[in-house]
Amino acid sequence: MEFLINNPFIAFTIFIIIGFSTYMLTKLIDEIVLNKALKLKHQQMRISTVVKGLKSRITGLTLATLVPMSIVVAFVVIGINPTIDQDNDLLSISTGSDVLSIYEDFNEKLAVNTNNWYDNGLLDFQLEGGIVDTALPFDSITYRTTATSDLTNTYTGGTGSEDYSETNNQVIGVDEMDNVLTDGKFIYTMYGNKIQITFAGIMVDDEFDASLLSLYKTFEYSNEVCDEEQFYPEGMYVDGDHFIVIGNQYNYNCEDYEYPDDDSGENIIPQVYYSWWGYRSSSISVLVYDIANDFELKDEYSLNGYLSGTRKIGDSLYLVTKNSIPFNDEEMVLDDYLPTYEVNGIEVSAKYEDIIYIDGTSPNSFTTFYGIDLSTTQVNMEVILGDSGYNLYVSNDNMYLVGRTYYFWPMMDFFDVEDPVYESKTAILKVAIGNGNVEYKTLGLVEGYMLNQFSMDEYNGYLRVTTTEGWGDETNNRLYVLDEDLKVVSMLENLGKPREQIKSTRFVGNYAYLVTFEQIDPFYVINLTNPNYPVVEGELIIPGYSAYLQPLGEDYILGIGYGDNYGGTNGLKIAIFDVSDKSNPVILGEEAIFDYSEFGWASSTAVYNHKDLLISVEKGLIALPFSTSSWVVTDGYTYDSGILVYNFDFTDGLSYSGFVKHEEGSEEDVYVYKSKFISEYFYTVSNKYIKVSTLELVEEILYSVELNEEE
Amino acid sequence: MFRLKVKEEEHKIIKDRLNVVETPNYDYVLTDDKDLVENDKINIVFNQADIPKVSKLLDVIVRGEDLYLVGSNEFGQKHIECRNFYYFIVEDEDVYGILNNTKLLIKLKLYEVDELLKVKDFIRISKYCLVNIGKIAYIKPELNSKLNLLMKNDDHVEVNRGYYKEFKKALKI
Repeated sequence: MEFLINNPFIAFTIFIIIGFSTYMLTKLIDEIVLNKALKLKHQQMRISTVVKGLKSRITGLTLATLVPMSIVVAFVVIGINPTIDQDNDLLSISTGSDVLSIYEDFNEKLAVNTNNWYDNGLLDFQLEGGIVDTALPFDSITYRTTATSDLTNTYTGGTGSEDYSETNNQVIGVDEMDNVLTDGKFIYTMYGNKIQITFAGIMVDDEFDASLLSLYKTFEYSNEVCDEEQFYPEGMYVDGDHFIVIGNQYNYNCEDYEYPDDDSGENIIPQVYYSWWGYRSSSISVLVYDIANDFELKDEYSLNGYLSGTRKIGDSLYLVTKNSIPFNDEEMVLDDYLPTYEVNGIEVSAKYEDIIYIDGTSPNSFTTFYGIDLSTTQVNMEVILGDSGYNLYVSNDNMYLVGRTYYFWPMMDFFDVEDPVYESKTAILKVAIGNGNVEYKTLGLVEGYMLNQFSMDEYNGYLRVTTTEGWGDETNNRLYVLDEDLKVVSMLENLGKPREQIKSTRFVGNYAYLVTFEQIDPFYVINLTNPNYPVVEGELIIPGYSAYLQPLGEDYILGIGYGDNYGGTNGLKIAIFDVSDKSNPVILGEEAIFDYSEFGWASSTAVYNHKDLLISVEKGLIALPFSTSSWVVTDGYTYDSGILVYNFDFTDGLSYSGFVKHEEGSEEDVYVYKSKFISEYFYTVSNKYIKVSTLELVEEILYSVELNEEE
Repeated sequence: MFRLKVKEEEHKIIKDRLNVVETPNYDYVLTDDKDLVENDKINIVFNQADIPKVSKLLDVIVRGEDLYLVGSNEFGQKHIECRNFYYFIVEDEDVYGILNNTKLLIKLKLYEVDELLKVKDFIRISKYCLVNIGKIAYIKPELNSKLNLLMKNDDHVEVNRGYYKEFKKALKI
């Protein structure tokens, strides 16, 4: 109705058509009744009736009546439920002007009667006027190496332990980039623009010697004052051969200014001001160091754009990058934004004809999937004109990037529609990977939004995803099973109690574990053995909720989230769910609860960053960062931050082991953010130290090394 | 005009073979069972073997007496049984009776013809036209609320708005 009020001409036309059709309909009925009566009369008169052209006449009249009526009906049907092509066809691109016209077409649709399409939030880049210099020279990264000289020759020859903790990856075999790593011999840490490699120890007579703990090497990237190219490591990978650092190289505009040291204004300290607003561009660097050759830089890859995500499978490194295109900048030269990579100084740019655009997706950037074979330095790329999405899941065979796709009202140039977007869906882009190759496969569509990478899982060729759509009374939580072509095979919906949102998901083989929350926490066990008929098999309702679920083998799930002693969520809660009886999940042993009322406001990054959680099922070990701060009038803020350690077994559940702190009641926040184990030793990492204890007595520090010492 | 009283299961077949239309107000009872005769009606009791003969008899009953009109054209004067006329029309104050291929000048006023032929299922459709219902092939309502009658000889005549109700009444609508 609102539509008709907004479009008086259309309303008038529909009114006329309805009037005409109604009139024609009465004529048609009249004609049929009259001729039927005539026929009867003739029968009474015992005259044979010859009705001439009745059929064609009735057909003509029916058409005259129904055609306008059908047009109106079609109009109304389209109005209520427009049949919009949701095929998401691939549109071919051969030149830069094709990219511009795709963008203009999309933007035109979006801009229909929308004063400020920016407010729609569909085009999420905000580079208008921000980019000054678009040319992107790949500058080699300069860095200083600080080696603790007397260690170099002494220890590099030995072998490390084979029993050490790896990154807590979502998928076995698919490595995720992290900020602290160990390979059983070295511990790799990141801080600011520094990478530090600490010698953890080596095997001596079948025993790991942790007493050798010492700082081995520091890579300090670009710390020159007013260096316009700053490199910041984002994460690292390590395997038997390679130590890989991935980071962003930002190009700033750097300005000097003078800062008076005291009120007199006499002591002037020169300062450097890095102008964020004047930043020019960014590139991603992948630095591959040869461990065997004392961490010599072996290969250097540069990719333009911003890093969206990365994974490593064996010798293959996969990256997703985003190059936002500032279409609003009149001086923009599109070629400058083409995804480009450089391997050891040799530069390769994407070609327009290789770029894929999927109709309906937001063409605001180039999203590039890179596959790098580290052994051969071969680089493959697949470029998609479209938003780089918000959620990346990578299985051993495929990458799934999640974004949105938009469907616009049909004929909206003609109509006056208030919101040009008729519908938007979650779009799952599937890119096949293997041996460093990347190839676009298909796009799948589901309703709602995904929470994080754990909302997706690939198993036996099926992709399983959970989404939440809407909020409040309109909330709908769904679980989809999609086939290899990302067509929906089955779906469960309205999971959870009314108003509840999905808080965490974990897929383990044929089962999905799902937590929804609004007032209480239902923990659901969903059987996906038959992909066509997923069923909710079990349910457990407890106070608080788990924001992260971690499988401990097939039959137990660790939940980390929020809960307190009063049935609320004012605290940190750790619990183990016993799901050995899928239809009847129960809490194993006692929950560990750190109530804010006792600990002050406390948090653990493991709630949202699974890589901060250390888990070993074999050792029965759970360790996670835990941090509180308190305010005392005399001392100001003091911080208590450390690693909370629990042991567990499958009979009694959790048992408290200890809380490892690096500084007691420190005035500065010595933030302990990671823990690792090598053999029986327990390593905790803060921004200041690496400290070692044993898994047996975690709080008893044996050795310590200071990181990031002021020179 | 007729009511057919036969066994339920045979009713439709016999009705079709006799080509009879039953009406609520009837004068004749047609039956194959003499016990079903009705006292105040004209009863025709028949054997089923005689249905063709009965059918012919019914033709005669419905048709009634023949009524001849005298008309003339360039070939002289003719006596024509009234049911052969498609319609009568007034042209230049003369009344013509229209036949399949020809028309005859009738030396009567149209209202006189109307009076004569009322019982023979002729109906006045305008001030200038009287039509034989039995010769109408198709009725087509026009957009201007008139009716266009297609006659069996492919002529078209028009029912004026003022005669519309009467026309419908004649068809018993």
